[in-house]
Amino acid sequence: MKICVCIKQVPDSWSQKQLDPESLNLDRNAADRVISDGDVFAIEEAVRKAEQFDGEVTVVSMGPSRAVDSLRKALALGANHAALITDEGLAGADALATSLVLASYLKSRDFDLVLFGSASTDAGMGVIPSMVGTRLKVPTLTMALSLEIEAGIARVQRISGSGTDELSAPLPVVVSVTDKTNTPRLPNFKAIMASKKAEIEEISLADLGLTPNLESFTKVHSQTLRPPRSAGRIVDEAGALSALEDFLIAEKFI
Amino acid sequence: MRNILVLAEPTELAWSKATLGLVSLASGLGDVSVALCSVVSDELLEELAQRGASAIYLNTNEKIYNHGNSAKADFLIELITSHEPDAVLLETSVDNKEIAGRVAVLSNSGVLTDISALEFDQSEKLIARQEIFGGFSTVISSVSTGVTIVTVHPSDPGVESKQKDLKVVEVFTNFADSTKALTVKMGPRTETSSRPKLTEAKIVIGAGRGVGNQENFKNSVEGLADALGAAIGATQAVIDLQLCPSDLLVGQSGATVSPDLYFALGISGAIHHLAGMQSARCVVAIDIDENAPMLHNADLGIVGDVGEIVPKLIEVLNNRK
Ligand SMILES: Cc1cc2nc3c(=O)[nH]c(=O)nc-3n(C[C@H](O)[C@H](O)[C@H](O)COP(=O)(O)OP(=O)(O)OC[C@H]3O[C@@H](n4cnc5c(N)ncnc54)[C@H](O)[C@@H]3O)c2cc1C
Repeated sequence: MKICVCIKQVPDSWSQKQLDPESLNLDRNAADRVISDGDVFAIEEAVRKAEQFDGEVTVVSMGPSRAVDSLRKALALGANHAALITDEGLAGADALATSLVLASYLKSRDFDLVLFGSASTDAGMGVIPSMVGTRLKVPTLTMALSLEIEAGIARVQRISGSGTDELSAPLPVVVSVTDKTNTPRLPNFKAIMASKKAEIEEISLADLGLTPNLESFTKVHSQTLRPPRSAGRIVDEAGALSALEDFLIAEKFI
Repeated sequence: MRNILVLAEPTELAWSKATLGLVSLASGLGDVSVALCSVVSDELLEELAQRGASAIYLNTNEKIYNHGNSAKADFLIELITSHEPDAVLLETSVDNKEIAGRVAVLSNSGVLTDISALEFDQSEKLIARQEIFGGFSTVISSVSTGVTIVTVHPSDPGVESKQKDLKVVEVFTNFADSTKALTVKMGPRTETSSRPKLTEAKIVIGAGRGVGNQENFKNSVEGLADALGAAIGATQAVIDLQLCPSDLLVGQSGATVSPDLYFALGISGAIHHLAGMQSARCVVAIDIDENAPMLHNADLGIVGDVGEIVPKLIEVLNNRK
């Protein structure tokens, strides 16, 4: 089974984020770059399926050259191959352009299973898995609580409103997982050392047969940062009840 | 006249505030048609007409619910191809973002999610206000190619009668092969709560780890929600403790709410949680630790024990009634 995991390097999810004030693109200089939290579950799921079906896992990331750090981390977590799609022409790529690049890569490699995390912790639009599945003309099973593969059929449990549904489709498929899908393992020392020396394939837009000027379908005109909420009144337990009642009355909640 | 297409969630009882808000928003922008996946009552159709809808495109392919979100996207694509709307509006949700993504690819159009306002500028271009990074940043953006596809967090402006004659057109969509390849087996539905919907409630009681246990959850969180007619939201910590179902999660990984009042009980105020509620008009927080960041993000912060204060507050509220 050929499995691919698409991962994204993002600012640490604990950091305050904003667009680069000059270019209005995602701020590529922000510090603390890590694998998007949700993608770690996708890597783990890929490695488990590879173990089960004697398969191979490739991780791919689209991003600046420093994203190799995240790819090495994915290798340490059990992936077999890593590829970085990097190109000057990718700066400012929106979701539609990103999905085009990823789908072009995936099409050229014939994967049986493509895994994503749920929405990345930076831009977080949550549209990429469905865009990629649509471009590959394969079913997309999103927000998987669990993923089972049997006799070439992928089965996913998924929360939907007030219940849980089961989605199934024959391979090849695109699946996005959640933090419920599995518990990721910690990398061992040997794997970390090996990942440092592993070769990472570098791919340009030209390699994928794409023009260097990717069209973005959306444009950001300006950005305003929300002013932090200013602290109001702090009251201790003794004055709590009257303060709460007064507040609720003053704001007409009661 | 410009054409705006809205995806409405069919319902047996009443439209969600979001659907009504979307139709009202659309009627301020142009001629409104509504895509409907299955039949609803005449009274409900009438309500859309009052909000300014002039056409209903009713899907007649019963299989639409058997093939997941792709099927709804294929239905919208059929309508986009035959009616060429200027914009397609969907309520912001996980499912609709997935639909919007597929529609964007198939119609070669740009998509914007988490929109809070939409209008035409002087040059007749649709301009959107988009909340990104969990609302920590607001950007003005637009779609430069194709149909403007947006998922919106609408506010409901209320009915302002724009009564139109409504025509209902039946549409049969042939789904794509990859859509038909996916089958959905619906599991049982749990009873829906009688409380207001989390994303639409005017008051949300936010439950954090400081609530402690199931008994306090019942007494303090549910009790306060009932006394104030509020919805209940929760932090990741509370979901992990299995004190309530996971669809009540508020924050980066869950729902975004902007109620008039967010009442945080024993919530420290991690950035992942703030991302889902910081656009609330008022915040009241109770936390035992005077250094909890949530207290300093609140209009009124109470330093104290949730289990002590809240039952007494509920008594005060119930005595007022
Ligand atoms: C990628 C990622 C995504 C995440 N997404 C989300 C998300 O969407 N939503 C979310 O909520 N979290 C999310 N989290 C988790 C988040 O970081 C916090 O861990 C979580 O919000 C903490 O929940 P809490 O405030 O209930 O618990 P804690 O941080 O443990 O805070 C509990 C608070 O209760 C107070 N307390 C204790 N006892 C009492 C008492 N008797 N009376 C009053 N106060 C008391 C404590 O002083 C403390 O301030 C995410 C984390 C990551 C890494």
